[in-house]
Amino acid sequence: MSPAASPDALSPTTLQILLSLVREPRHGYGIKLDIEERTEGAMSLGSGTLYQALARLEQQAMIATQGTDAETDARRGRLYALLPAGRTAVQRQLSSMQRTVSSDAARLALADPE
Amino acid sequence: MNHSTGLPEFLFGLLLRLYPKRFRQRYGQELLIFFRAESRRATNRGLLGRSKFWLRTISDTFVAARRYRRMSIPTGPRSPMLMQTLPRHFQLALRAMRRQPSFAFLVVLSLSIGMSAALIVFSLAEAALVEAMPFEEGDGLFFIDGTLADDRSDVRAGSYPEIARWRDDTSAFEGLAAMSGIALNLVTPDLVERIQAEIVGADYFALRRARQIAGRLLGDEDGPERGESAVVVIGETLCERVFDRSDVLGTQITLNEIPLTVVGIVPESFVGLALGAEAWVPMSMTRVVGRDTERRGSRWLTSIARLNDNTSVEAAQAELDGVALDLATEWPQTNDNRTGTLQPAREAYLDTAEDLILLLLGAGVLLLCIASANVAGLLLLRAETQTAEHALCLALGERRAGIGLRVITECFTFAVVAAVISWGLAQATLQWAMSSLPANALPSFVTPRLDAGSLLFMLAAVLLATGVAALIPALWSSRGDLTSALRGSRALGASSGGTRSPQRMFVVAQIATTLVLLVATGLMGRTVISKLNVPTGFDPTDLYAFRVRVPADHEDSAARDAFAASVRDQVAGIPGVLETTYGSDVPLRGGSSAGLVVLAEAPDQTIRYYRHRVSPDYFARTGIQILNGRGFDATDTADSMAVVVVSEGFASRFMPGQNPVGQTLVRAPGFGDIPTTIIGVAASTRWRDLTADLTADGDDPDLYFPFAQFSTRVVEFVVRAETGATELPDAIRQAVRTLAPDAPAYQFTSLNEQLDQQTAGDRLTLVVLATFAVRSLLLAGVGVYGTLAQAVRRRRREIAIRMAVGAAGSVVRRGILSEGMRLTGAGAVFGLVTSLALTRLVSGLLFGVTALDPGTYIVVLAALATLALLATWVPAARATRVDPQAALRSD
Repeated sequence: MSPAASPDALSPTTLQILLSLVREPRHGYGIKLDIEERTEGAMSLGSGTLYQALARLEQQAMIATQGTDAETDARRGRLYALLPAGRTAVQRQLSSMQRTVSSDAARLALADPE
Repeated sequence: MNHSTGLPEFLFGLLLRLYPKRFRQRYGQELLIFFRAESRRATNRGLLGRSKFWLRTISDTFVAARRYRRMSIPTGPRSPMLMQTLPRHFQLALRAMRRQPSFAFLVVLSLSIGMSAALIVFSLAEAALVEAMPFEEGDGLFFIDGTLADDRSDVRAGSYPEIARWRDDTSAFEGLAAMSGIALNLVTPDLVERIQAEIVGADYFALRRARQIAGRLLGDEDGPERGESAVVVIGETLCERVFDRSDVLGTQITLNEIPLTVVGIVPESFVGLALGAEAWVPMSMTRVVGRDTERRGSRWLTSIARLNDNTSVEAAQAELDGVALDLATEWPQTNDNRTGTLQPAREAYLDTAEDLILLLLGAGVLLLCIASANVAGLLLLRAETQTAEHALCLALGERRAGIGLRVITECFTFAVVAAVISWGLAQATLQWAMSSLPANALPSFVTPRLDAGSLLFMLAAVLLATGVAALIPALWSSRGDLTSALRGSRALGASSGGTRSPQRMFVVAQIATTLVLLVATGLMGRTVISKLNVPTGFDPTDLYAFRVRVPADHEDSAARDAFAASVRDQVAGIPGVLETTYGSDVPLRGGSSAGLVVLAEAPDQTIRYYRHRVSPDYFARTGIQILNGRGFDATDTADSMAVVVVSEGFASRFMPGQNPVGQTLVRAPGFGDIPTTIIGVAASTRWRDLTADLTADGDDPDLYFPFAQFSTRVVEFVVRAETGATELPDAIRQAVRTLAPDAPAYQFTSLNEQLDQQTAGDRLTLVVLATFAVRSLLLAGVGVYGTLAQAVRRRRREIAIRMAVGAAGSVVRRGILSEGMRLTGAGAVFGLVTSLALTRLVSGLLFGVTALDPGTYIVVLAALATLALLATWVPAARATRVDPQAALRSD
């Protein structure tokens, strides 16, 4: 399933990465820590997975690095920031999820069995 | 972990090579930053955590690299999915194993031996160094021992006044508490028992992070500064055993005849620092053990402490030394050259085992390296024969990655099979070792268990080593062009050379290592034999000992002697007891009680000696010979002339050439000046360890006094029983209780067991060395065999031609044999040099044999030569069976 084929559906990893950048730009490792915190450790990205995803998101112009390479912080790496396309993708995904969650079927599924 | 940051980063750098260059250039730096942060987190998670981290990093990199490649090259042919080709590669690997079963066997054997050895030591090391502490809060806990200032390894005890000053005049410690392990007679209406206990300072429980299950713990109000506080905290188990009910707070129990009120109960999980303690008495009650907290020279305590946050061990030690210097100035006669020395609790508990475990770790890792090197060598050699095959595959359109993947899969298959086998092998070895090890060789709380994490870690290590060894030639060969590769395999020149030099170096190193291990095993074996043959000076056959503390109302020596004699007579009546006697101690577990004497003829030379107080029949019944004069008899009473029997060592050292009998010693010179007449000389007897030189200055001599004249509070009874008297301890306990209900018999031991204990450590070392030496020998055999077998295989054509033109089989065979012997010879030379270089290291462990013992070296060299001959003979014999026609036709 290539992202280009179905731009609406973001993979869980991609969604989480984009969510991390909604509030502020972050360094790569900062994104990982933020996701771990937000998902309470349920999602823990390896270095490869994270940077492969970042590379793809950059290619799709959903995110961009801030500043030039010369300004790269040698201790923490580059800062990644959300681009309008990325924000749109997150919004679209979240509202679709929200529709799903608020559907009758979902309400039934989430209801207390008692 | 400073030393190890280099290697992980290097390995990760290698992993990064999996990514395309473009990706690496853009993100490599950040990936490394990420990796550093993650590995810092992983370092704190133990071996399992670290191996998980590595496995994750490796698999993550593989997956991400593939994804990135697919993402960046959306067009063009897709390589088959990993998951689709993997089963096929496994199939190929298994087929290859079947095609060359001996090759597969050698690889798996080597890996299994190495991995099982490493697995064992990893589990042992993890059990001992990481997990094992007899109690949970041990991290951060320190012992402070009273030591000499100029030799911190010379541990003496501390006195209460000095420990109080360490506590009060320093700021480095969160708390500091004096303590000592003690043994007490517990008497209740239903029970008389000897229990282990501790007498502890005010901060003790706070430092131990203890929680009571009832009542209160001891604290400041129980310190000696506030006067006596007749209370005791007891353990849950003792509480259940003694009272059989839980509302015991406020009840009185009698310890060493002093009534104490139970004020608190601690759970079973709380163990004393002296393991097995069940009661805790406050430091103000030193009366219970007949000690005091006032005298500065009364050194019987140790202490525990915790450092304040942000205080370094060095700073704390410096502060202690400062206080010690003050004390030395104020009280030179008791505190000159004394200080307190910090030691982490963990270290203290592993004192004896730590060196051994580090040695084991070294040996295990070495074997794993040898095994990997062995396999790498085999793979390298085989790779040469596969050059043509790979070139062909490449020419037929297979991708280089495909060949690499096939080689990796093969290594993986080998490693997994070996891992399974080594798990079983390690389990069996561990069981055997633990059951054949002498008791007490390892601290009781060290229980090695095989750990899946270690296995995974090792699997990764082996995969890395063998994978690299296999990949390099495979990929290298796949770079070459087809024609030269195919021609190369046919050219005679390429196959006429000897074995490749890295392979030869592996084998030489293996043989050298084996020789070193075999020599060490041999020397250790001879040491054990020598120790077992040391004359003990007494007869330990069916000899047992136990102790009884004389009740406090027997104050003078005559009364104590009468009590001891009545116990002896009572015990003598037990069926199965042949004879019995008593004294202050028994050989091999002699007391440390020492005194000073001078010879009346040479009053200037003060002699420190070990004192043994014995009853008249002691010498005869333990089998200690009187060489000259007489032993004690019934006429040596408290009222008669003071007499002494000196040891052979004493006589030869201080009265050479004289007849000691009839001469006079002065006991306690300057304190009581008790003139004592020498009436006999007793043969050298091993009271302490077997290896001390009893005639040299290093060991203080033994002197014997009549028990009736110079008694002790604790009496050691010695019993010679009929063989196989297993019920003896119970019968004795019963008999003593009938006679003296307040004085339990305790610390039963068999003198044969004591003798065993003397060699326990050496036998442990021997078992361990032998385990590794045998494995190493096997590996070396595999190495020699593998090298030569492959060499023969590669030289088939040459040999075939030589035989076709008339060379005799014996000549060919001799060529192969001499090559094997050259390898062995080179290894032996390196091994000999290494052994000689290590002489200084081992000589401390040896006894009764020198580190250069020619016999050992000859036997070891012979064993090695035999093995090498065997390992060489098979390929040599195979070489001469080569059918020239078949050999020339093949390829």
